[in-house]
Amino acid sequence: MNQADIDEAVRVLGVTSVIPLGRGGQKLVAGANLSSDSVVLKLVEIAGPHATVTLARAKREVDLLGRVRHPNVVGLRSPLVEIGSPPRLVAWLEERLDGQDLGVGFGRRWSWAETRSLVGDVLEGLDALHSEKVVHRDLSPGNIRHTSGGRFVIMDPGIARWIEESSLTGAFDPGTPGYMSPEHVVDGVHPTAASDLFCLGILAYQALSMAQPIPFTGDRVDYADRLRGTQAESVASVTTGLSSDQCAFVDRLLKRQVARRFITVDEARRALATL
Amino acid sequence: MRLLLHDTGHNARTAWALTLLQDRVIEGIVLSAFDTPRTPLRRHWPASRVVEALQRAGGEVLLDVGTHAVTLPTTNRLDAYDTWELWPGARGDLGSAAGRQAHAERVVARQQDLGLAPIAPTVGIRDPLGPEAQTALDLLDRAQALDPAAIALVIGRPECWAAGLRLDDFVGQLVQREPQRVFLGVLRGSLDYPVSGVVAAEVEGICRTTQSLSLRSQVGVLQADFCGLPAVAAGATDLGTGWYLRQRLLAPDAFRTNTGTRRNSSRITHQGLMAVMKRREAEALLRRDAAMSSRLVPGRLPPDNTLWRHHLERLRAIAVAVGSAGGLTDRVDYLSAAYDTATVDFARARGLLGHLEFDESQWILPYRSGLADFALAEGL
Repeated sequence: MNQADIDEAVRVLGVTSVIPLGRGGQKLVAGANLSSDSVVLKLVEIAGPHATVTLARAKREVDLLGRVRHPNVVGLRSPLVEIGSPPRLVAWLEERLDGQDLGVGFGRRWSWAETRSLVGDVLEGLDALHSEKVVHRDLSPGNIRHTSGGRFVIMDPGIARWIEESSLTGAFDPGTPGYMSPEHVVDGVHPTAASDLFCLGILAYQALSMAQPIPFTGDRVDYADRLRGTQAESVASVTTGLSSDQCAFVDRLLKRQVARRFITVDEARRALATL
Repeated sequence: MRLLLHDTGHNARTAWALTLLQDRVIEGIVLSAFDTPRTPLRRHWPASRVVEALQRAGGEVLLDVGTHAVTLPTTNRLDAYDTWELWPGARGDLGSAAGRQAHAERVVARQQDLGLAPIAPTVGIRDPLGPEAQTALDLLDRAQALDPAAIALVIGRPECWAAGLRLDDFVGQLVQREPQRVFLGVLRGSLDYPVSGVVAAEVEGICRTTQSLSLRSQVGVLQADFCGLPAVAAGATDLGTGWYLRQRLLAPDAFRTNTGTRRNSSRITHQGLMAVMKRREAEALLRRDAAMSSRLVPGRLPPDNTLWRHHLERLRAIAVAVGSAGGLTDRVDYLSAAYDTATVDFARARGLLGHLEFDESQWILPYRSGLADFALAEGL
C-alpha cells in the first residue's frame, strides 16, 4: 500500500490523528478523528490478480453499511473514495466502537442473561441485514463488538452476500473455521439467513459453555465433514444451570438440518421472547 | 388426516368422487391435466364443470398440471393435456429462464382461473443438489412470485429420497421459501404394486423430510396409497390415492397411451395387512381361517363392484388411525406395531396357503425398516 495514496485518502476524507489499529492482507484499519468524532478509517489496496473482486467487495460493503442504519450494525461515516484511476486504493470511514471484540469475553462462562442479551442484539442486527436481503456469512467473535455500554454490534460485513445476487467469490463461501454453518461447506449450497442463525448459535453455545459445538482442530476437511454430518451435542451436555427451554433454543439454532433450525430472525426472536 | 382422490381418465369419476365426498370417505380430489381437459374433449366435461360440481359437494379441488410428467421422455398421452395450453413456446421447454417463467405464468393462471390454490410446476428430481432440483426450486420461486400461496410440489425419484444429507440440503433450501403447503411424491420406475425394490433409506428420507416440513407447512404425500403411511406417521396430513394403479402410484407408464388404467380389480384390500390380495388368495384364506380373514379385511370379502370404494374406506381407516394416534412418537409407535402385526399375519397366511403372490417382504418390510431407521435417527 503506497503511503502517498494513504495520505491522499486521509486528505480526501478529511480525517486527522490517524493511528493504525491493524493490518491484514490488502486492508489497513486505523483510528482517526473526523472533526470531533472518533472514527475508524478503512483502506483497501486494489491490486493483484483479484483486484476486480476486491474492489467490488469493498464497494459492496460500503453500499451495504450505507443502507443498513441500525444500532446493532456498525455505522458508516463516509462514502467510499477511490484513489487513482483506475483505483489503486479505496477508503471509507466507519463508526468507532469502544469496548472489545466478543472473543475477548469468551474466557469465562456467561450467564443466560448475558447470553440472551448477545443473542437478542445480534438478532436485531441480523434482522437489519436480512431485511436488505443480505447474509453476513462470517458471524465470528472477531466480527462482533461488545461496547462498554453493553451493546453488541455486528461489524465487517465485507464478505456478506446479497441473497438474490450471484456470489463475487464463486463457489467458495468464506467464513471463519469453528464459526461456520453446514451450508458453508456443501457444494451447490450457499449460506443463507438460516446459516447466520446457526453461527449465532455457535456464539451462544460458546458463551454459555466455553466450548464450541463443532470445534475446528486444524484440519479443514475433517471440520467440514463433522460440520455437515454431525448434529452438535446439546448445550445441556456441556453446561449446567440452564432451563430446558433455554437449552432447546440454543440447540435449535444449531440444528444441522436447516429445516429443523430457526430459518428467520422472526422465528428466533419469537422463541427468545418466551425465555 | 385427509384422503385425496387422484384423477382418472374415466368419465364416471366425477360421480364416484361426489359420492365419496358426500360419504366423507375422501376430503378432496386432485385433478390431473392429463385426465381432465380444460375445454370439452369428446365426452369429457371441461375442468370448470368438474371443479364446480366437486366444490359444490364440499370437496377441496386441486389441479396437478403434471410438468414433471410431460417432461418424461416416454410421455405421449397428451389429448387432455394439450387442451391446457401450458407452454407458450415448445412443450417441455424449461431450459431458459424465459421458458420457465412463461410456463409458470400459464400454470398459475390456469389454476387461478378455476379458483384453485395453485400447485407450482416442478420436475422429477434424481439428485437433490443437481440441476433438476435447481429447476424445481426456480419454478417454485416463479410460482410463489405470482401467487405467494402457491403449493410446493416435490417429485423425487427413489434415489432422491434416499440421498441422505443431500436430501436434507435440498429440503433446507425448500423450507426457506416458506411454502404454506407442500406435496411430496415418488416417481417410480413402473406401476407395479406392490412397489418392487423399495429401500429403507428412501422411506426414511420421506419420513425425515415430512417431519422437517411439517414444522412449518401442511404436508401431503401424493399418489402414495399404503406406501404413504410412514409419511403420515411422520406428520403428513394429506394422503393421495385411488383405485387405479395410476392413482396410487406415480410412474412414467401412467402418462403413456393404453398403459395407465390398470386397476386392482380382482384384488381385495386387507386393512390389517396394509396390502391388497388376489381374490383367489383372499377366498382361500377365508376358507382356511375365517376369523383371521374377518380380522384382516376386516369383515366380509367385498364383491367386485365395490372394491374401489372398499379400498378407499380401508386405507382411510388405517391412515386416520395412524394420523390420530397422538404426537410423532405415538404415531410412529402405532404404525410400527401395525407393521409388526401384519408381518406375523403374513407369515401365518403364507403358512395356511402355502404360497402368496406377494407377502410382507414387498408390502411391509421396507416400510417397517425405513420407519424404524427414522425413529432411531429422531431419538424416538
